[in-house]
Amino acid sequence: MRNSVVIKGNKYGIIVVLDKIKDFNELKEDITYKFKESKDFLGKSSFAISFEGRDLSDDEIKEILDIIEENTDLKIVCVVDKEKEELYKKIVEDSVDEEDNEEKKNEKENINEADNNDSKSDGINFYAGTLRSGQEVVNNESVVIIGDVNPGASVISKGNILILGSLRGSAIAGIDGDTNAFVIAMEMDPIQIRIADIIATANDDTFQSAMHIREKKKNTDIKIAYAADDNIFVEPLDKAALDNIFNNNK
Amino acid sequence: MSEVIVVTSGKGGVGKTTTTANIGTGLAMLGKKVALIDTDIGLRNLDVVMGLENRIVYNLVDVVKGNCRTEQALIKHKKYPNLFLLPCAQAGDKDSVSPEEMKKLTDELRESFDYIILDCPAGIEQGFKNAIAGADRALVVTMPEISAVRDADRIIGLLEANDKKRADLIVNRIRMDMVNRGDMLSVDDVVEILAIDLIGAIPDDEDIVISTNKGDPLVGGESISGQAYMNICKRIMGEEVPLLDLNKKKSIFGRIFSKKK
Repeated sequence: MRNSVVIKGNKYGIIVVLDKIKDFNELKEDITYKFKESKDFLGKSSFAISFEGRDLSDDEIKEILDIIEENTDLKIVCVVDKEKEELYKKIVEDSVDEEDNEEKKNEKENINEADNNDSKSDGINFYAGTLRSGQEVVNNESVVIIGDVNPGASVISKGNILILGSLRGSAIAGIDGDTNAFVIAMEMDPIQIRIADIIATANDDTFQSAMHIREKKKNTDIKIAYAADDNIFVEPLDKAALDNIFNNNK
Repeated sequence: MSEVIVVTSGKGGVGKTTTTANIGTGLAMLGKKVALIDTDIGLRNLDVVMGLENRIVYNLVDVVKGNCRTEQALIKHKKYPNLFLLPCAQAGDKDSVSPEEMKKLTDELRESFDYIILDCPAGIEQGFKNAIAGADRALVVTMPEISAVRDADRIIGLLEANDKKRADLIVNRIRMDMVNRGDMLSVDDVVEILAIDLIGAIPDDEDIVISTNKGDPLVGGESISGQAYMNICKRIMGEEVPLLDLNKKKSIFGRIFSKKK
């Protein structure tokens, strides 16, 4: 009976697997029951949601979202369409401002444990908050940092690194040798960036004049660091740079 | 409702002890009952800065180990009857007490004091862990120098990891002439990196050295640093006090000074 609705979690948010043939009105009752039951477990987070197992019309999706909103404290940020491209997904994911509880736990475990490479995660991992001196985020996959990476902190990833804040510490992308990996930061002022085994260090002059931090912040754009011909290049993140990345990653 | 506040910095020599002494004295001047605890076991000096060294009989380790009652070890200040100091031991080291013992002690003191202020040792080892164990909030002292800011950042990270939700920043020893020349980080630069609330900025002031040597905190006095410390005390109590303009006040202070001459 109740198995007509199954709630699963993934890195993006929650997946609701629905029975294919059941009458929609009955299904709605099951959904109500299921989410009421899971209210405490799901908590107050913001989620992206996706549906599996059944084709839903827009109206039906809206009805389901209303049910979820009524019966839980969840905030549904967006509905993810499985059919759409990976890229679309990524952009949607970036707008999710809070990771689900399980992820938070995973991330916390990863901090300060440089050797922890065993986590079996896929997709994108979020870390919300300022990374301070001595703190490390280590991950097998791409990482999104929502906050600053301060001097003395590092982000280490087998995939890409996206920093929605200032990169003033170190970022190591593609640590297993992926030269297509890249680092994007809202403000690029790193002590060191590594992509695969290529190392770029801060210009000695700028490093010494670590003053005028706010002035530097004023005149910077979003920048991307990528590897080409055994060098690391840092460029403003414009359309050409984006096209370049997607071509590389195909 | 009492509050336990730890004054910490990571790096040494940025003014933790001076800050503890001045804020403790300032809060006492504002009518609060205050206990200061020196947790820097083996490197005792809060008593010196407070001018109470000659009155020490028992210390923190004696209290924790049950060699005396807490009241016996608390030294009443000579000027302010509601200000007390619990000195630390000069013998022994940081391992002489544990975080659990410290928490028990601060919880006991909560019953009879409005504010309990802990002077944390430099570093991030046992002494730091002891000092933060019972604290509700932290004052992170730093100075506008890259190394001090870096250490403060580390400390804030550790405070967060230990669920100390509230940490406010004190930027100490600012030299406005150097900031204006572009040779020193400004207060705003420091706040930009550390990303926590600023509760006060203290200029680098000769008067602090003099008062420290005399064992008489300058809080509440005419000097600009005395005013700055008093403002911090008011902010700790929840008052909204605008930040001093260190540039402007300097000239006023200069004028007062020249009048005296």
